Amino acid sequence: MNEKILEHNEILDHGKDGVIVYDKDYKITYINCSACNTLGLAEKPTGQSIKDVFRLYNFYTKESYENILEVVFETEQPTGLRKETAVKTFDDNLVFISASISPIIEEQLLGAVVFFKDIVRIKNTEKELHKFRKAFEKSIESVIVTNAEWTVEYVNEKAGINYDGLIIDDNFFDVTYYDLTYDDRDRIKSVLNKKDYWIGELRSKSQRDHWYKVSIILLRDVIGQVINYVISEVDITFEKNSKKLLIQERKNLSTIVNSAPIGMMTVSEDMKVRQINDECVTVLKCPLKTNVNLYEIGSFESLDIVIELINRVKDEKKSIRNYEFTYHNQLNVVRKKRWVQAHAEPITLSGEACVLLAFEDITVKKDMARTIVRNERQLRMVTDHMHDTITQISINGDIEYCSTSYMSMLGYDAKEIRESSLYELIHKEDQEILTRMIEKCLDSKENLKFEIRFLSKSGHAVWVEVMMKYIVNDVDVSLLLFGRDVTQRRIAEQEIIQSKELAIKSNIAKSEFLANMSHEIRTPLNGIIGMANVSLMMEENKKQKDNIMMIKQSAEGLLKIINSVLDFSKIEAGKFQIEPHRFALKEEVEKILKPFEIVAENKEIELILDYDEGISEFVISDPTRLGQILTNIVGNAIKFTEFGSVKLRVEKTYETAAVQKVQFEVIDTGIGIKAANKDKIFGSFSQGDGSITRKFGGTGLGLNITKKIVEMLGGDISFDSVYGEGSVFRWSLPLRVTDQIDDESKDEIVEQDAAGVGFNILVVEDDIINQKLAHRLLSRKGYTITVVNNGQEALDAFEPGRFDLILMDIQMPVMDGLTATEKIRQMDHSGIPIIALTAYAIKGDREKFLEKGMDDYISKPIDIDEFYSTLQKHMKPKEDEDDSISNILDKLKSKKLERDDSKVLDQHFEKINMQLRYIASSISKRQFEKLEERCYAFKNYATSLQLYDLRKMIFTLEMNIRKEDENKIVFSYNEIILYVNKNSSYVLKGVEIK
Amino acid sequence: MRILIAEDDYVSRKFLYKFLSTFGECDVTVDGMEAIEVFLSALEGGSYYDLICLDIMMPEVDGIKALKTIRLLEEERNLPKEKRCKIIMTTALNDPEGIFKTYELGSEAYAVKPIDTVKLVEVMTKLGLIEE
Repeated sequence: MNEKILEHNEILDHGKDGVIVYDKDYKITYINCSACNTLGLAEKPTGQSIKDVFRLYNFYTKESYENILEVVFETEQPTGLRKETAVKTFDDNLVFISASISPIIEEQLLGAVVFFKDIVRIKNTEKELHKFRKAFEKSIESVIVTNAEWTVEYVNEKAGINYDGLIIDDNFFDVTYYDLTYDDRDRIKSVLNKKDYWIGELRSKSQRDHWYKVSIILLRDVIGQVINYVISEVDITFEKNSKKLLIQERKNLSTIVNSAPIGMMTVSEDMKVRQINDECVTVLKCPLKTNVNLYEIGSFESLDIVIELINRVKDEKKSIRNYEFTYHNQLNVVRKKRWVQAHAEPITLSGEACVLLAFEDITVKKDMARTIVRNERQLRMVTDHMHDTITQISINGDIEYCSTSYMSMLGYDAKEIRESSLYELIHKEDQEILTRMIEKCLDSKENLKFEIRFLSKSGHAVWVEVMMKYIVNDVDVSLLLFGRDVTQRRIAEQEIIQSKELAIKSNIAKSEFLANMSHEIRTPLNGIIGMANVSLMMEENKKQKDNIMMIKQSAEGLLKIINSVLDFSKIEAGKFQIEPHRFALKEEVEKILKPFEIVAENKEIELILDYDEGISEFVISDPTRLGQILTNIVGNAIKFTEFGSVKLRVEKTYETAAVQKVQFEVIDTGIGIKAANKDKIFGSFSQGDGSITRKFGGTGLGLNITKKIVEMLGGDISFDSVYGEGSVFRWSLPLRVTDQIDDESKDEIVEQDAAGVGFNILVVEDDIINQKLAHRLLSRKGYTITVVNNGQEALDAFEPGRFDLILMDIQMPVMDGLTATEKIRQMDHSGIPIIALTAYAIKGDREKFLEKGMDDYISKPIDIDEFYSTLQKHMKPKEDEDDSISNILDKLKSKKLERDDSKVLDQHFEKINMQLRYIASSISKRQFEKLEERCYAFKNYATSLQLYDLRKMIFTLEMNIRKEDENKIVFSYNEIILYVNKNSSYVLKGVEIK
Repeated sequence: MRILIAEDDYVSRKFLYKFLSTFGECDVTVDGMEAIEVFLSALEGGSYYDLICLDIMMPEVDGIKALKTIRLLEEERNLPKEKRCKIIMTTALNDPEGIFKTYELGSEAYAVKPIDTVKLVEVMTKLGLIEE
């Protein structure tokens, strides 16, 4: 019945909503057309299960929602669909629907009816709305919506932030931050009423520089009543300020342009000056100003060029840079030439095409550049045309600059050697000097002067005197070398040195020759004088004795001459030595005068000694030399005095604690010296008068030697003389005074021996006392000593092989002992012992010394035993010397052979026999000299045959021959005969002495 | 007194021999080698020389080496000081340095040639070889 109602209900059938009725078994009993349309059905599915037709799902999750159809039966209550429920249509779409399902109950449950509506359109509208809302919400403009009474209903996010909190339900004008007066509000409201909108710029109340562009829209309903006001706002602070800044910037720029040191102007197309600064007028020196046409200013040299420049830019439509031009300053009486550098480029100024020009006066710069170029050219002229060279080098020796004078000095073109190293131009052997000099110059920053050998292009050594100067350019250090060719001077110097060396050599040769000659002459003189003496001793005959005496005197005269010549040559060669020691002065003087007493007595003249007893008894000087002076002067005085007297006066003239000055005067009444000859008296080979030499004899060297000896002893000699009346010779000597009984007694503690003879020791010691001590200790043992004062002197004195040992003080000025030792070790590889002599020997020092190359050390104060034993320990035995002595002894000791000599005697019997016959003959004839020679030969023969017994007998014979003792000669001769006969198988013949 | 002379120049040794023979028994040698040989055989025979005159310049073994060897031989035999011979060096060279060196080596005196017999006697007296 119910169904019937439905079936016939046309309204239902054609309603907008879909209607489905189903029974308890879920069978569709009614479905209207709208439902069929919505579900995509062509025919009504009446009688089918609703579950197959009305398929419900969650639109998004696709979960089936069909149980809702059952829920109605269970609850017997009407129910709606869940949100997002969609029905699956038969063309496979999911369509959002909203539906209500109600049970049909008529006394009992009969079924249910479904009303549903397609809500796709609603859903879409919802989505659109959401989108707008979102846009509103997220807008960067702040949006506020109020109702007609200006009560805030909505604020978007931005407005929420701007208003810092909720302003909903507040009156907009009460809460707004715009700076609005009541009048302003009224004005806005009246505008809104007329035009439905208002737009304006409003300032922030609190921050006066904040500006907002605000628009208010009025919304009305259908009948024209105000519903809402929509207020939107944009922050325009930045734009507002930018404009202000721009104006400020323009002002600044114009100030800069005006005060710039560069002339600037802009010129329009029609040649009108738009802008110009003061500098531009100054640079161009013509009366330009704003808004003046360039063609109307007048004739100016600079202006013509500027106009030309502008036209070029206009034509070419591109900028011109670094354009240099000159003009003459017409504003001054002196039309001075100016240099200008210009830039010109096209620009657009407020829509107008213009040309921007910039000018710089470069006259000063140009002048400077010209001056620099001129100076450089002048400098180059100088450096190129001088003979001296100028070189600038880096600290590595690389040439940074060199003058062209290298061409004339070394043959190199300056270009060839620039950029190369100076070392390449230096002689190999001198490169080290350059390195050392560079280091020294960098170190001291002072100018250095030295000489060094360069190499010319052709390979010749060129001596160059170099002045090296330290220079700094900014931070770069360079060295400037001024060089001058000194080869010619060096050659000349070399020649001088060579000739000097030659002269010295020949002088030495002369001295050696003289020394040798003197030896050769003395030997026969020895014989003459000796034999004369012997004869005088033995001779009884008075006449013979006189003759022999004359021989002796002549020989002695000759000897004196030789001695003078020898002394003279020694003085010349610088070998003449003073050996000061302590002696009794008066005693010595008397001893020297003694021989002259006899001579004076013979000449019947007086010899007087006037001696000042105030003179110290013992003095230190060289008595031998003092004697020589006295002998010479007194001898001369007596020689030249025939009548009267010769007086020697010795007196003290001056005295200090250590030294007495003693004056010697020899006053004679002799012939005197002619005034003309006075200057020649002390010269070499000179006597007052040539003729005197012949009369008085002598070499003429005496006074010259005397003067030199006086000077060497620290004194001076002079004379006064009146010709015919006599002469006075006077000289004074500084004599050191001594009270010590005997200087040497102390040394007696050290036993003198010859342990050190032949050894050369170098003593390096700065303290004089220690030097003396070392000298004394060493000389006691016979060492030869060289003393130097410091390490540097030691290096100078040192030559490999010269010394056998070095005693080295550690602490010394100039160069200390350790440094000197290191350097000596570099020079010498023979391992010369170096012994440290130090006062600072503490633990560990020994190791330090040894490490530095020393062999041992002796600590100060010196312990004598330690001193000698340490020396002995390190002294290598002198091979040649010791060898010679042991050789000598070997020769003597090896003369015993374990063999029978008779065989040898037999073998050489004939020859032995013959030699003995000769010897016998000499003995018979008493020819001792010949006999000695024959014996000597025979002895050598025996030695060569190693017949040592025989040799010994011959030697005995030889000794007896020298004694000229005939008995002994015959005796020892016969011994030999006996020996030979006894030991040989043969018998000697013809060997008897007659 | 026993005297040993070593001198290579014939005249010089003849003179020395003649002069010194007046003071004692002289042996004459012509070089250092001979002198040492004679000295050694005397030493071995137990008879010592009182005075030795050594010329410094001699062939083969010179006076200096002879001096050194003689002193060495004496030392080897531990000869008491008073028994050691006196040695006078003779030289034709007036060379103070060389002479001083012979002192260091153990000579007692020197005589420069030509020998001054008066001085030689003086020296011998000082050495206690002859009485005044």
